[in-house]
Amino acid sequence: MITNSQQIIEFRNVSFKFKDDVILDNISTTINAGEVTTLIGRNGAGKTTFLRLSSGLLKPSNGDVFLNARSLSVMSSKERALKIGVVQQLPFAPDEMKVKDLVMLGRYPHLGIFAQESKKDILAVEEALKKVECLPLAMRTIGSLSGGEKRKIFIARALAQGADIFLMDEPTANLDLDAQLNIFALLRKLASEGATILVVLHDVNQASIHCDKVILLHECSILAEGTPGQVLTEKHLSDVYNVKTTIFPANEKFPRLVVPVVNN
Amino acid sequence: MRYFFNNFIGSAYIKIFIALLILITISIFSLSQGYADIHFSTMVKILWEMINSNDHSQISDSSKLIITEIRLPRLIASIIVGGALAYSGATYQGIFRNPLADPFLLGIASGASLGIALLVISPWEQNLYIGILTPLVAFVSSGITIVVVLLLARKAGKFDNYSIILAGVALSAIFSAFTSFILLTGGENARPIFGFLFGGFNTITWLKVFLCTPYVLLGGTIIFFLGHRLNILQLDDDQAQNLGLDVEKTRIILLAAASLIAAAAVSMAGIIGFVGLIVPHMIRLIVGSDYRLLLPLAAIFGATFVVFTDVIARTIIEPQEIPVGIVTAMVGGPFFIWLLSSQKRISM
Amino acid sequence: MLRFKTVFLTILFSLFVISGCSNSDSAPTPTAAIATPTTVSNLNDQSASFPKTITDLTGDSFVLNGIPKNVVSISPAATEILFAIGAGDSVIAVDSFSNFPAETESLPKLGFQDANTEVIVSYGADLVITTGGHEELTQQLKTLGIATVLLDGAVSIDGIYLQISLLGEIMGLENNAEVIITNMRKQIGAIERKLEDVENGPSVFYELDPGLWTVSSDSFVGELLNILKLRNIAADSATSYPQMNLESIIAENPDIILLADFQYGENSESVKARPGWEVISAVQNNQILEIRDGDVVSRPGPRVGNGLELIGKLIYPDIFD
Repeated sequence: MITNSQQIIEFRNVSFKFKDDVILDNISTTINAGEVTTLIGRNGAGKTTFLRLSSGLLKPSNGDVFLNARSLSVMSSKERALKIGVVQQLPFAPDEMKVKDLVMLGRYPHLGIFAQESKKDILAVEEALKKVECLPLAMRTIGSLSGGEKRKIFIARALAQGADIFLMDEPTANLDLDAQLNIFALLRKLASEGATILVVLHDVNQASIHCDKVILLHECSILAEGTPGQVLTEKHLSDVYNVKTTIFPANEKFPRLVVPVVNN
Repeated sequence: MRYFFNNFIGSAYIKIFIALLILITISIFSLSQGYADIHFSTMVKILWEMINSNDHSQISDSSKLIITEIRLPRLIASIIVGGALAYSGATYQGIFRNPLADPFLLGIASGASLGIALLVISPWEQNLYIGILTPLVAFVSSGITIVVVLLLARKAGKFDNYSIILAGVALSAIFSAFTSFILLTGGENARPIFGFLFGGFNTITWLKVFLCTPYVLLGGTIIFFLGHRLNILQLDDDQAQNLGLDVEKTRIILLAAASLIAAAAVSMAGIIGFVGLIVPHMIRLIVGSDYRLLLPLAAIFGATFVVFTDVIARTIIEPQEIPVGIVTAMVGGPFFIWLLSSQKRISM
Repeated sequence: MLRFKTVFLTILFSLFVISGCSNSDSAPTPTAAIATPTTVSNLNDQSASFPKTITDLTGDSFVLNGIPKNVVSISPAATEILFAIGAGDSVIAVDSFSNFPAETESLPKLGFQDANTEVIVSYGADLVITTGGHEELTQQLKTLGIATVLLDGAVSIDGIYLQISLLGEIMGLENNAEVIITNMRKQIGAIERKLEDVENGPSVFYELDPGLWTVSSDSFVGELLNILKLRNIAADSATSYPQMNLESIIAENPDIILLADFQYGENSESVKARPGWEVISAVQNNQILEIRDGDVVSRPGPRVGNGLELIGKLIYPDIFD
């Protein structure tokens, strides 16, 4: 999938309140196409809320979220589903459901009146499974998959949607090391083909190594945004996590590493 | 690598066709059974004459009457009620992602019972047999119950499954309590209420059929076109919304349609239990959980089930009749227990 | 949920039909056209020695230390019997369906299915008569040491005689009880004589309820229909209170339809209007007869003769002038 249209998500002065609590306060930023953007911050900083605002699941209390200068709120669910694929952290799927059927659900916005699949839809599902290298798993049930496989299947579903924008909540949580690298490789590949990717991450090193842009959320607003080098500095990390760190800049052998200082 | 995608359309149509064949066979069987001894060929002749509007009076009036005014409306009513209850039950199970859901989950049965109980003990001179007041009151009471449930759920904040079910169960309990109270203290006056509570087709008339069928058709059509959305609804609300489904709207529309057809079924024949709960599960064991196929098959099989149990209800101790609601419970109950204890996981 | 409700209702319904039609809260009391049995007024005309052991109709016995003076009746039939044998003055409270004779109007009503042990005790009852469906209440009262007799609705007229004798024995009014029984025998004997020449009475469908519930010969009303030489089309049914369907009724083609559900608004016009009923003999010959006083017919008590006369008049107007 090489997309020519650059799908850009833009937050303009977005605030979000839940009852009387301010979750996000006056956020303005963009998620660009062709790169992997990550959202970093403490637990409860508002990362999941940010993600849900980006998909249109939530509406801002103030300000607005735009997709290529069109407000998300004027788009129907179906319209958004055609463009945005969301991969949640712990999505529920019945254990007995087959992989191919789960991915086929992603075709819903494309299907006609009785949701009958056409050859085009079947092809899209196959392509999606191929891209995440899970085509052999097509007839397996969801319950029989490993954590990493499951994650990739849900990404396949987002691909089957035909989306160019991918929003993911901790896509590597609880995965083995190889599975983690697998996922990031996939994301990098999609980004190189022009996709717009936003992932929520917990691990600052993953952010540092794999991502092009970092948005650091702290106390309801953006503390810093930019390249990992610009954002993941010793000062910022100390402000947010109250932890002393040592930064090892990138060289030919290693990527940029953030190492916490541990007192024994 | 196309081979693992089955040709959905082809096999689905075949299954539906077979189900319809079974229904038609059982229906013809049903028309031939009854206390009055009517020869099979006579029955066919009567039906033929009815279709062609002939009137060869070689056949006795009472035979003609029994076929056209008793067995036939009874058959049609069984088909509509059985189909509606199963269709509604399958929809409810899909909306609430709960294998124990049935059309009476939200209190339609209790609401209709209370309405009928109030009608029966009211000083109104009502002709319970031929009057249209009974089906009307049952229908309206069911409708009011659902509306109140949805309003209560809305008051709780949102239309998610949790709020709706809680409101339904609570209201159901309250209405049941009132109905029981009326039964306990009403004495002789309250007797006709039992007839409604046990369900039955023995006072079915063409008028009742024509009164209630439009609502079944209306609700049924809505589910026919929107039922496939239940496949997506099997995932959690967030996923469904992100995949393009307007979750709240879908839930309310399907709920309203399913409740409408259940209310119509109840107003035609009283409370007939187990059909809405068991039949969808029987179908699931055979064809799985794709609602595009599950829904129509459940409807057809539900109709077949009720036609069959009605034959049992009116012939097994003839000339006496057993209320159909009791027969479906006697057949459905043991099957339900077997389902629970079997190792097969009920896929949703 | 619904499944438990079905079980609960089945039990409730069974209790309901067991207690039978004897507990009706019905149409207005009839006018003087129906004669009430003679009530004998002298109380305590039998000096008995106390304490006395009484054996009730189930074989249980209890000891009476004196003639009961505070009788509570949770049985409309028993209420009628008590008043008929002259024990009315001792009755201090009744159930809500005891509506005959007129003296019951001023008596406190203690409900029926919901009759309460505590309330009965608070009235200082020394004798309680209950009926079918009140097994638990009866047990509780007995445990509290209160003389309690459970009289199930009689299924035959002889059964009623036994109950009258028993109550007569308990209240020390054996003579009065004998008189009542003799009068009843005379009345019913006269009815049977009037019907001597009737070889085959008409066939009848006795409609209890617009859901087509009826009575079999295992029920009290069924017994009455037998005495009147009526051929009940549901006589041999499996249960006492079976449900019929239209097809069976048409096949049996009754000569007469007796409407005992008049209070629910069914009358001969509404029956004629039912689709499909027009082929039934009874409808064609306009033999749809409304029973206006349900209590007299369905309550197994001293007025059973009147009940027979009421139905008799409807069916054999020539014989019963």
